[in-house]
Amino acid sequence: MRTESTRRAVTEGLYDIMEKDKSLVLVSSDSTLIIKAKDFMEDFPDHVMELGISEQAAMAAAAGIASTGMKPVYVSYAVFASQRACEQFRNAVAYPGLNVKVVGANGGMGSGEREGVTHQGLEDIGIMRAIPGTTVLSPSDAGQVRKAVSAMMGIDGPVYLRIGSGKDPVFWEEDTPFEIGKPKEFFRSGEDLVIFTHGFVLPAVREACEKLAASGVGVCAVEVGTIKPLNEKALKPYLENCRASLVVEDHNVIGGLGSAVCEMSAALCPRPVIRIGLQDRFSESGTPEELFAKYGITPENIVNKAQEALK
Amino acid sequence: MKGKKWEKQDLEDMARLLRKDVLEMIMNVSDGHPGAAYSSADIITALYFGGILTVDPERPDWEDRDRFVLSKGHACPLLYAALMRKGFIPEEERFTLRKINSRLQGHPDMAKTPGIDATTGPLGNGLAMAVGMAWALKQQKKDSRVFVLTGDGELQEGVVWEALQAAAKYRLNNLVIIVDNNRRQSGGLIDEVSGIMSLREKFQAFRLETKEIDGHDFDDILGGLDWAVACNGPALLIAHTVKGKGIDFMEEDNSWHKRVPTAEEYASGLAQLGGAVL
Repeated sequence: MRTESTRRAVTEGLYDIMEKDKSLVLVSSDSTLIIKAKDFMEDFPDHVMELGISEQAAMAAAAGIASTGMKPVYVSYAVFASQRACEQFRNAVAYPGLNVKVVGANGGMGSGEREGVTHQGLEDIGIMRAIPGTTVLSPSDAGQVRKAVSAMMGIDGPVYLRIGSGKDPVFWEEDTPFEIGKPKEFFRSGEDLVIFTHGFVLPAVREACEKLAASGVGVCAVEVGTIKPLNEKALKPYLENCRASLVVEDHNVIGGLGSAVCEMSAALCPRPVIRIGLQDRFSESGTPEELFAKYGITPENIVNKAQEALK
Repeated sequence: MKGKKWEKQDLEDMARLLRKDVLEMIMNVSDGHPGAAYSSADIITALYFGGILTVDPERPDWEDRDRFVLSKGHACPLLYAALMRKGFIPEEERFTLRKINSRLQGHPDMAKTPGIDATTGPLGNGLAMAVGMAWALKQQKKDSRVFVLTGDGELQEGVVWEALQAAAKYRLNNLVIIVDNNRRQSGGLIDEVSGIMSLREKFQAFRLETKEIDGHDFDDILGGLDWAVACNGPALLIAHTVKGKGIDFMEEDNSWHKRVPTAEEYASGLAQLGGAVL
């Protein structure tokens, strides 16, 4: 499968923004290379604040920058943006509702390359989702990330954007829009089962759907790229029409989209919700393929879980 | 008060009035940190009434204003009193402090309170926010300056030193840092809780223009602030202060870090602060 870097896509998105809005600031804790922004730094040196390896100060400084009316985008790894600088994000950014965008790379174990658990964002969505007023986005390929960067700059408030490793599968046609709050259905053979998903596991989900459909299961798959606020109005009909639902994500099963769907289902339309992801354990180093195989994010496991759920 | 030239005596009177306001506010809600507010009282008075901060109560969000960040956010009743006497907040609002539906939160909230430039209280963050502000204001070619008041115990936070690295790197000459060096933190004397301070040496090693002042002498405070504003890089004043300054039984008694006076103590405190006539 063709890959394209969601990291570089962030920088390309920033270039798009700079064409129309010069209030953008890239805030870095020695993290510009994460998004391969060397050219951006050379082209717009006055629009980069580099604090060195200091995530907490970078997040708080981003709050200070936003308080003057500029629009900071702070880039780091998902694990450090959401955890080391979590308190600064919560108290300095989200509580006063400041216009700070946070980009977290290595979202998930598959995006953590061979770095291992310390550099994999496995709980980032759960953490950021728990903070009031925060929009949480998880686009699923480079083209989508580029558009998500533009879309998030249109929100006046804190946004967390999850990206990948830089070797991320291309899933969508280039002209597919990314609209905040709008789920995208990408497979349908029926409605017995609905699969909600996000991020770089969409190819595995589609493959599972094809297998399920071939065996006669009516299944539909929906990408939920905006995890918060969850578009309950758009998602509820899927729950109403299905017998069971599956959530597939590269994240701990606690806190992520799986939890969000459980919350929605419990409140609006009770259905079994099977969560496929990291089963409340840490992963390890390895290739994305090896990790997904070992920790159960495979078409085969999705098919098995779907069949169990429909029994 | 408008248009009046502030003499040293006027500033001392104002500082006493603000301390009295704080005592009344803390007594009214039965909660707060008088010790920390009182060690900062003269510094905050000098900033707001000594001709240092360019701010406008009619336009609290005026983009060309100077900024003041109270990084030691728990001292905020004193800042609320200053904003009240400056005209940002109506006087009658002061007894809403720390109560439900109030704009005067337990720690400063920039989204709720006119005149508050940063949401602070989590120690250390205010300084890092101020560094971001100062960088952004310079980037926008504004003349605005950023003043930040930190505690000394607060300097134990790692984020402070991360922020100072950046302040020095960018030579933020629009940033003035004042350390309220009252030598005490929640758990007792800083020397005992966290060990060696050697503040001046540390700040100088971080390439900050550093000067020590008496944080309760208006000539010294204003002279120090004038010096700091004129510095060619980020400047830092170590203000030697007394926790609880202004009420004799609170001074140097760390139990007043967070404590509410008894009726007797309240009466005595008010009497000691009673001389403020403006």
